Amino acid sequence: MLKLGTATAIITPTEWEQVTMNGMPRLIPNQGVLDDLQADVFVLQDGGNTVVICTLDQVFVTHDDQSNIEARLKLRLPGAHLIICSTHNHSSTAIPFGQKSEQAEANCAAAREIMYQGFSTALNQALQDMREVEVAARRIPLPMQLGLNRRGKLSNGGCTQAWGAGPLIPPGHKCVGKSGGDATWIDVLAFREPGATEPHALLSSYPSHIHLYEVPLFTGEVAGGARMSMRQRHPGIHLMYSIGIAGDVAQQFAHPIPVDDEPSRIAWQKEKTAAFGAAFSQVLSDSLQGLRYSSVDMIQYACHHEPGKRQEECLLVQSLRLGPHALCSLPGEMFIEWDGHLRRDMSCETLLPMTYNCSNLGYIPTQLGFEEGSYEAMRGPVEKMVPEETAGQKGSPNTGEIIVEKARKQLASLFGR
Amino acid sequence: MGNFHNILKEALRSNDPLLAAEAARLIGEWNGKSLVPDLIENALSSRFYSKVSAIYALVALLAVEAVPGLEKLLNAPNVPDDFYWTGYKGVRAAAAVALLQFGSDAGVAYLQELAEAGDCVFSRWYAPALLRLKPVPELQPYLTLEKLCSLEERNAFDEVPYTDAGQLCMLCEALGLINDPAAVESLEFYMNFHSRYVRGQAYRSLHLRQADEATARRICANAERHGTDFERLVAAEIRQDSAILLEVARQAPLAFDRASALDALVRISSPHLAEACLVGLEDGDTHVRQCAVEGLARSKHPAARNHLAGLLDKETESRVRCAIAATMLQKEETPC
Repeated sequence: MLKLGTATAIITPTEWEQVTMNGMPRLIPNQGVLDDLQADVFVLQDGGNTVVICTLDQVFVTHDDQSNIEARLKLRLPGAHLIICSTHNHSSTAIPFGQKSEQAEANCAAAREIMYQGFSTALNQALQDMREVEVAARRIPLPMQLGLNRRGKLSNGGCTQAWGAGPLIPPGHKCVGKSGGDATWIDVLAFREPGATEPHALLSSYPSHIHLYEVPLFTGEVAGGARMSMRQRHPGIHLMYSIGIAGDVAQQFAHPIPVDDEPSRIAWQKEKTAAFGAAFSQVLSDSLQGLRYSSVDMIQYACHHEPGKRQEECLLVQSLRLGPHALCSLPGEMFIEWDGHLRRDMSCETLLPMTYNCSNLGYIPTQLGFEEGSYEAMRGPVEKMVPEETAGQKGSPNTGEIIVEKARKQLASLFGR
Repeated sequence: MGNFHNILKEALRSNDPLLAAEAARLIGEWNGKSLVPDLIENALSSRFYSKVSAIYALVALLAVEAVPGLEKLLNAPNVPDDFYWTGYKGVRAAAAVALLQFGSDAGVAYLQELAEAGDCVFSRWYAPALLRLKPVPELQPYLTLEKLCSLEERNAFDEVPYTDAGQLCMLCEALGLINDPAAVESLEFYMNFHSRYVRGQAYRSLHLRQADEATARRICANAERHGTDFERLVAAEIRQDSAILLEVARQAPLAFDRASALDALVRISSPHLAEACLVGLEDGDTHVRQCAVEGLARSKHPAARNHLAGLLDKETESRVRCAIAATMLQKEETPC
């Protein structure tokens, strides 16, 4: 029978002098910690296979991060497979502020070491907590607006970014609407001990960026808010928060920052994060009653790893079968429309996509997305359209198709179709 | 009439930035002068970047009483400072351009500052609007072909070309207005760009510069070769071909194309406009229905007013309700 162990480690950097955070520029160096960053580890084992799923509060998982963490895993569990994704947290990954200095470099290196050590600590704890589990999964519709598509389509057909506080509309034009879909669901995998009334572990996948505003503080952003609220609501449930297919969906669209001074903006961020967490955990909580669990005997795993032009431009797609349910680890920043492509004639009963693995191909728009433009589609497409030459390159118009095809093939193979 | 007012007022205050912007645009386009105080209030108090639509509406309504507010927005736009993007600068630029339209040069220095920095807010998003104004001597040196196209050189990032189609649509619009015959060469390049929307704008701008039969034929041939509905409808508008526009309005798979075809039928004053709009009113897409409402109101169809009044009761989408309210309000406010 399937076994699961779960654990969490705090991975907040402890030194932040001359440091800022990768992802969104700040005008001042980091000032401290708003709330802690987290590494979550789920260890899944059947009789012979082990798969370790890890999420990190980082803007990206780099190729180096993947290698470093994989090396630590192999020391402990030589045959284990690793699925590791970031929460795409923009208030997490330490980088030097302004001109590089020895101090800044040392602080950033220390921050990475804390993250790697956090993984090892959580892995060890999870292995001490292995329990037999049954699995359930479902897609939960959201009754409220949380993540919204952040590309505004103009009347000339072009798009403009609509984050922060709506789109800038040029004179003589109108914004005809959002260019793509909103994040109107949460995918969830639930694990409970056989016969238990409630799960003790949830893996959620919500297709939206998690940041609201570029505070100069380390914070778990809305992922941290969701985990915190879930802990308060259900202390016995460990929530691992991951991102679905959400390159063009964000939290910011509907939340113009109401004030201009820094302390008020930080207070606003805390309030909005808590509100998101409360809404998110309420939806998860309400869905727990209706879950149908089944026992799973075997884990099946598939992986496609293709080197890219550069290390970070590798193409990594991983799939996992747990009974009738599947999980896919995919590169980040795919437009939400790709979720529908991935699910077309789906071979599994439910599918949970986790994005932002170490394959960093930038934004992955649809063909029409490239034609519409906006920030996410401003770089590309590359001129060459030959799949093998562009599969691992940023800005390729067919990257999304290639990724979806790899994942669909893996799923078809795992489900014998 | 009160009901129409309330629908638009409520939408202006909505926390949906797109709805509020649409309400503002509709008030401006449909001459809702009685709502000028609400537009001023929206421009000053809203925290959305999309409130620029209220600024444009105030200009359209020649609301000179908005000038003190615009002067305030020029330096304190009351929106989040997204310093590395376009929203904060864009609201300031919108105020500056509006002030120019009201005859004040209070915002010229700011526009010059943006231009000097090579900012896309100037050279992309506001260049067409500035090129439509009476030339401003301080800004003319920045509104040249060379200056406007210079952003294209920023294409070395990650070895992937910098080709934001959204911005290039605006560039192509500017290339249709710029006083330099060499702009034609750039437009011809964009007629074969990877984006149908950039190509479409290039067609429009080229035709604006060279409204001759040979150019129209070349545009149509290019549009046929690429084969997208969007380009077909742009070419059909240039040829004033209602039949193709009707076909796209009814059958195009993309809602945006169906709506754009309705807008094109309005622009060519097609005798088939009302017929197409009545079909469009039944469309499942909000934007198509909205365009159909505005198109029907412009069609001079004798039953348009009654039809639109009846629609208000069954339409649930706020954007479409705003369109109905704006068109009905104009009919009530405009003296016979």
